Amino acid sequence: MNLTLLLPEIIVIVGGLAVMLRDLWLPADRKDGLWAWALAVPLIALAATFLPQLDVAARISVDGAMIVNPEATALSGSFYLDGMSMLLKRAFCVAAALVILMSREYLSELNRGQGEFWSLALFALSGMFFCASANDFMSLFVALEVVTVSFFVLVAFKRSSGTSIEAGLKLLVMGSLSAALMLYGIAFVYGASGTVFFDQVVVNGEVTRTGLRDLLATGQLVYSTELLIGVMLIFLGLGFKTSAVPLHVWVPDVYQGAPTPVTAYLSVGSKLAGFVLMLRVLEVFSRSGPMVDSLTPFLALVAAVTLFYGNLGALPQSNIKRLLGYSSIGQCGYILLGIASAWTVGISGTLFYMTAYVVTNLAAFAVVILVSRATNSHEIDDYSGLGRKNPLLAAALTVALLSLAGVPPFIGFFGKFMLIGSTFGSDELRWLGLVGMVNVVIALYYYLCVIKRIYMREERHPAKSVVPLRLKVVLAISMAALVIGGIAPQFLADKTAEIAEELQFAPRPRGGEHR
Amino acid sequence: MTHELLGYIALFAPFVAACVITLFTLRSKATSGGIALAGIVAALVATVLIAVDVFPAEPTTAAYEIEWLAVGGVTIPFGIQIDALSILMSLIVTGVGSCIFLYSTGYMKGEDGYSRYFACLSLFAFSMQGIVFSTNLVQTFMFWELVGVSSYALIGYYFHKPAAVDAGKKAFLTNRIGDFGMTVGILLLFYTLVQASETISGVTASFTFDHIRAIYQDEAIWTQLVQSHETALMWAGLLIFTGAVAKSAQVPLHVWLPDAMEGPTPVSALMHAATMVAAGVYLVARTYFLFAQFEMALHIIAWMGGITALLAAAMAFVQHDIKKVLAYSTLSQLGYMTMALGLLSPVAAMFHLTTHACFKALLFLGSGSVIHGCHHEQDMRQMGGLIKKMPITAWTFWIGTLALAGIFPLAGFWSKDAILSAASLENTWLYGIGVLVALMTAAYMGRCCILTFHGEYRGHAKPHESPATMTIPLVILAVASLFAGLINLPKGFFGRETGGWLEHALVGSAAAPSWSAGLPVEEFHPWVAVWGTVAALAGIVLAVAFYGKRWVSIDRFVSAIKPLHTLLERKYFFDDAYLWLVREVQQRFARLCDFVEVYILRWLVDTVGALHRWVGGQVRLILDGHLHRYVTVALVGAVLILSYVLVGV
Repeated sequence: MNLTLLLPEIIVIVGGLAVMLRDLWLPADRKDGLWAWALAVPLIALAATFLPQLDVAARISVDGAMIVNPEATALSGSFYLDGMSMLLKRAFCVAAALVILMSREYLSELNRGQGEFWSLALFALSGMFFCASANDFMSLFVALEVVTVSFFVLVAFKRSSGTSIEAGLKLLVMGSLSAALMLYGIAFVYGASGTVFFDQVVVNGEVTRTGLRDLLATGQLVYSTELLIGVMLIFLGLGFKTSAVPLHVWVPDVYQGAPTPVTAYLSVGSKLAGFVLMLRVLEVFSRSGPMVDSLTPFLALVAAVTLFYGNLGALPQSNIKRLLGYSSIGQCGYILLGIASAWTVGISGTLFYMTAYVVTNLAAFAVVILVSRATNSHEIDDYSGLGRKNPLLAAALTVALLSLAGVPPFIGFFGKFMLIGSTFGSDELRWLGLVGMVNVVIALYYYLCVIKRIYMREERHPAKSVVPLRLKVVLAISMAALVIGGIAPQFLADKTAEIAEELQFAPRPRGGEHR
Repeated sequence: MTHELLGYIALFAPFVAACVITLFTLRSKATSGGIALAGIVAALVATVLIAVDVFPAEPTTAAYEIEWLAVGGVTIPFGIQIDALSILMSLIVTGVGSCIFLYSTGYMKGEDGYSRYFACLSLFAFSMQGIVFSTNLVQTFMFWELVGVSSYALIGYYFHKPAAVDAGKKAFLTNRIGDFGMTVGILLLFYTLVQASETISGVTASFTFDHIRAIYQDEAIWTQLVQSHETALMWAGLLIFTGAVAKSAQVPLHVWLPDAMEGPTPVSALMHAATMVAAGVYLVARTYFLFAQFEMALHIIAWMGGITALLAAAMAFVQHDIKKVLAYSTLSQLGYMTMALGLLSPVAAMFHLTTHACFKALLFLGSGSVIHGCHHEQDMRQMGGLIKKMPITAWTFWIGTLALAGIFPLAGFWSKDAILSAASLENTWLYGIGVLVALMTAAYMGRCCILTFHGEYRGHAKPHESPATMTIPLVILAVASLFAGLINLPKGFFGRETGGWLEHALVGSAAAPSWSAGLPVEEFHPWVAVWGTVAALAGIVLAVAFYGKRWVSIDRFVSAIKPLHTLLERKYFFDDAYLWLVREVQQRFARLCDFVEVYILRWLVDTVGALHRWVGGQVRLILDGHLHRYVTVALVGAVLILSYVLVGV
């Protein structure tokens, strides 16, 4: 057992418990300071990910074939640390830290339950960490449920508000449904292969446990309809987290009803946890050519429907949180587009976009929190005149929305560029790239509608938002990332290309020209 | 310090000044003026430091480049070309520029937007320096456009005056026509080289001057190139020349220059003496290898210059605005320079450009001083007798006038003589035009001086001499106008064995080999000098006869040549023709486009948009808040997707 690899997870769990205990010892009037404790946890975990002990080669070469390095696994092979999980863990840390900075104002209005809020946020973070490192279907499921269950409570945290409770309930029901679909899928896979593990375990030269990667690589497990159904069901279940059609149905209501910081957290943390698992599962099954050939049209179909659904549904929205909800469905479509073209550039673009999406979406939500505190409203009409009243906030929201829309020179442009570009490498998926382009135009419309209100309408609320230092930090960090990442995307793009190379999506789509 | 570093300082110092003024010191007028002045003087000092190295040494050229853009297999560098040609031009721009900046601190005192003025002026100087130091066509074009933009801002400086705004627009749009030709020319040249590179070994496509010149001057390559691509290459050269036609205000794209006098007078001095209009001549000199081999192209250039010189000189006679006289005079002198370029005499063109920069800047600044002293009166009919009220201005103005007229031994004599010598050898008709224009120049400038400074004062203001910040530049430029001719004393003048210093410095510089190949070294031709001087003196005598002593009645003379006078007053109907073209032709076409846009394209776009919004509205209805429906949608969706894939497989 190599517990060093679990250091970030341990830090987050211990931190979460520590915050919970600290809360019990604090008198009611001093609980405001707890946010600093909570903030420290993801930051320490982030620092821990840079420890040299965690820098283990994810793959080693044995007899000319690259296989998973046992040194990079822990918990009897259920935990795997590679470049992708490391990148995502860092992204989760940043997301959690930014969300904690945003939540402080919201919680001080709540009077009670601060400790629980911070602990739950941190537990959710630990769940995301485990998602990034899950290496068998059981840990995958458990990790995912840790995230989901934490969010059930967080979404319904504003107990005085009916919509918050309703949102929590909807999330619970849809979450259960998706969990059922996923478990059903895992059962199919187990039935077809006889294992739920990704890697085999070898003791003294004898295979004590078979793994899917090895079965598929050696041809012991071949394509079958049961296997395909199982994997597709798992993807549909994961689609609940990533808000992919058809399990996206909860998104607009929950985004609107949940406390805004939770919505922000949900929109990046929970979503990315789903995506990283999709990538992981796809990576495992990419060792079988026929599986990839059958999964590609499935993913492409889901991506296209999700794109159209999210972007068209966003057009008539009048509530900014609901708009961002539909927009996040649309964004999910773009990432799926990259996953569907699962070869090096597509995966690299997917990882790039996922990372970029964290800062972009959080910046947008930070502004939403600030504006709604001043106007007490989430209506887009109430953003009229923001440009004159609060030029900095207006500029930040504009930059964030433009980046979401994929306008250069912001980071979102390069993400979309890489994703759409990757589909043009294969004849089979070229149509999907065109769908992506059409949706860029549709999305630009509703993002620009918001920007138009900000700058070209008379203001409706004279109240000026006060921007506390914590949110200034959030905005400064995210703006810097958006602009620097847009002007010099090479740093991140090189990193994601390296990770994509390491993931080894062995077979390429048919008819495609490998770049 | 290395030449490269100094070159970059000379280029970027005015830009830094423009940025600092725009970002920090807009409120503080004195600081802004100081910063702008510091920027241009820094550029001047850097240029002088390079000049003391470059000029005494044997002529060489050096391009210091960094890779700027790489597209496909083509790299576009950004760099600094250091040779006698660029340093000479930079000396003119920054030297005359420094005088004008200093003068501006006095002239613009009390204006609103003083800081904006200096920011624009610095930006303009930067753009001009960019053209001067450019190593390739793309960089040149970029700064060419920047000159267009900053000149627009400066000409339209008094943006509350509709005339100034119109003049700015006119200058910009007219230049755009030339720029368009230039873009096409650059692309055509590049495209031709790309095509040639496929068949002819040794040819590679590039935008860099040195590179293209090497191709043009390699005799083996050139013979093949000319066989297969002669027409394209000639047209590329001529199209690039259209850029110069617009910037250097040659007929028929000269219309913007007289109107541009709406800008503040120092701006007129900077743009129309030393910089913007000189850019065209400089461009042709820099890319002379593009033209030198094509007799047809040279003929077109020479005749265009000659016609411009003649037409503009004639128009100068009917102007009453002192600045307009100078504007048409500038047109006419630019015609001279262009003519020299076409007559295989780029040295003479650059020589005249240099001397002209000195005395024309002097004249413009002098006119500014007069206007300032007469409380913004520009009409010469409201002046007269000013020599007593503003002696420094008057004397320096006279020096400028005599230099411009080409009176021995002032600067203009030498450079004009160089052009006339070239013309006398190459083309008799153009030589005749040149001598005639020399006479006209002396006459209209004499008229201008007499009306302004002599006789009785006819205005109503109280004229006064200008402050020292304005008169010091006048004196400096007057001294330059007296002696600038010494830089290129011709061969054969009092038995000189060699050509002038300028000739030596330029031939051998970047464009040199093409210049020297078969180019005549300028020699002194006594008869040309005599006839030129006679023409100039005759012109002055005519001016005195008509305007000083009034031996001949002007009114009677005018009525005798009524149709010609009308033609001149209406500027040969160029403006009317262009206006007709815009109103009747372009406007009709625009209306057609508008119709298509409003009734067809917009309808199409709106329909697409409406369709999407409608679908969006329907999509929204699926999620109406009922949880049971959500579950149904999710499950049905899952089943549909699964069955689609399974059936499809």
